[in-house]
Amino acid sequence: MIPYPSNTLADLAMRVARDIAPTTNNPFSQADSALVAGLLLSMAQDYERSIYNPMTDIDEIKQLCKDILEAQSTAQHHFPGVSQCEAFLDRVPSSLRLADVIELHASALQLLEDIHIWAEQHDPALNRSVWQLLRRHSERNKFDVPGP
Amino acid sequence: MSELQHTGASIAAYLAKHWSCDCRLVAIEQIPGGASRETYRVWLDRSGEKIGVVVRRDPPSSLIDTERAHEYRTYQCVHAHGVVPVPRPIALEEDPQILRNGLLRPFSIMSLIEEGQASPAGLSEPSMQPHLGMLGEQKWSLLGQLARLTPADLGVDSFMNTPDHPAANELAYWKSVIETDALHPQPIAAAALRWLEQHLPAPSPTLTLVHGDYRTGNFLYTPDGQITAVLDWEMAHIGDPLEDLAWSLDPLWSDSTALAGRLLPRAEALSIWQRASGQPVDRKAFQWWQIFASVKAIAIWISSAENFVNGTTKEPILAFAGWPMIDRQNRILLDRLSPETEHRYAEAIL
Repeated sequence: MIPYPSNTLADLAMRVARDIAPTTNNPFSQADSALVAGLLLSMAQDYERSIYNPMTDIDEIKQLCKDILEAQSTAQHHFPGVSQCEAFLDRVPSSLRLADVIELHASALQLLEDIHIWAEQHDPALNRSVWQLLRRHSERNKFDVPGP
Repeated sequence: MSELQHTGASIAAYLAKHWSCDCRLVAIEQIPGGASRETYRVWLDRSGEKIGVVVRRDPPSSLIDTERAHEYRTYQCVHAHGVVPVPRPIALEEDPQILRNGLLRPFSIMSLIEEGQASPAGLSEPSMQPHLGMLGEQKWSLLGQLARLTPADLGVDSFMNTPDHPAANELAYWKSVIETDALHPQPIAAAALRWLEQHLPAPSPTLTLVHGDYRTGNFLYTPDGQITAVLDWEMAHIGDPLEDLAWSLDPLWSDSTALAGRLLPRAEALSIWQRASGQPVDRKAFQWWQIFASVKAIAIWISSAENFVNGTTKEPILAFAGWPMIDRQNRILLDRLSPETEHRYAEAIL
């Protein structure tokens, strides 16, 4: 067993980029090799965080839901998706297999989009919170690979 | 005979008939980077004369769904007018009877422009540094000169739609691409689409031929800083000239926010375009087109991811576009739309 596949994938990316790509005999194969190396590097970066990142998004969206529910009693405008928020707070992935996590993550992002649409119209503070969440989401998922 | 050699021999045989002369294959190589068409550089012996052509053939699956005849006719119009240097169109073949015995999928053939390379990374070479300013001057001057022409001046109005409201038209199209092809919710793109709908500019005061992918990487440049051809007109359409200007300045096309398209500071690029086009840049409309540029790019990356996952072609560029490039474009959009932006990935608009 290789306990940390991210490192292995990064090593393979380097192998393709440094050793295999230069030995190919035409520009098309060289460009393809460089892209495959870039994809292996992307995979290496995504591997380690592939469960952590969506689960963190789910947790942050749950916190957003809690904040919305708490604010409902004093809010000027009432969020029409309160029941969706309440239901989402109880949801957990069926397992920690990636497919199950991604399925719940898709539901979470869909709910986030609904919250965002409403916040844009009715709640500037909540709108800012959604943008902050999206910023953190984006930074967590950031790749550090050279462009094509 | 390898598949590549077989392709080359089929091209030579086709051109022998097309030109009614002896035509033999000398060499062929596939050109990297073309994600919407398979592109080949082919050298031929035509009755003793060595000539080069570029062949663009439909792939089984593509990053951008475009119409080959539309692209070919655009090349014909731009080449005939001469406002922008482009390869000379030679032939377009779509006849299934002819394709069956040769190249199998529709293709077009154009003259090979031997001088120049398209590589964006090549611009970072130390030898290119003294020429970046001159290349930038040409890049945005050519675009400005194109903006001076009406679609009728170029003749593209004979086969392209003339939209009443280019911004609304483009937005509707790319929104449908995102909605159809997204494999996972895209909350940043969705927010950007809402912003675009809420801030739609007035119908464009001038209509022109829009290249649709006018960026560093889609023109050939020589080592001494000359642009020898503008390529890849497959997304060309009639629209607002600010669309190309905004697309050309998107931060994705540069490795730093200091130089637009790896060539010039944005402000200089804008000045050059305004001078060449004779048109001022409407700040509000341009802001809209800049957000639109990032959304259109995300739509293409989303579509390419869908294509890679569900399509038959497993080109690495499709996966690359649909993965790290979506990530970078998302951060550019965040910088431009978030109320508390830090401008780490995109400069302040205009």
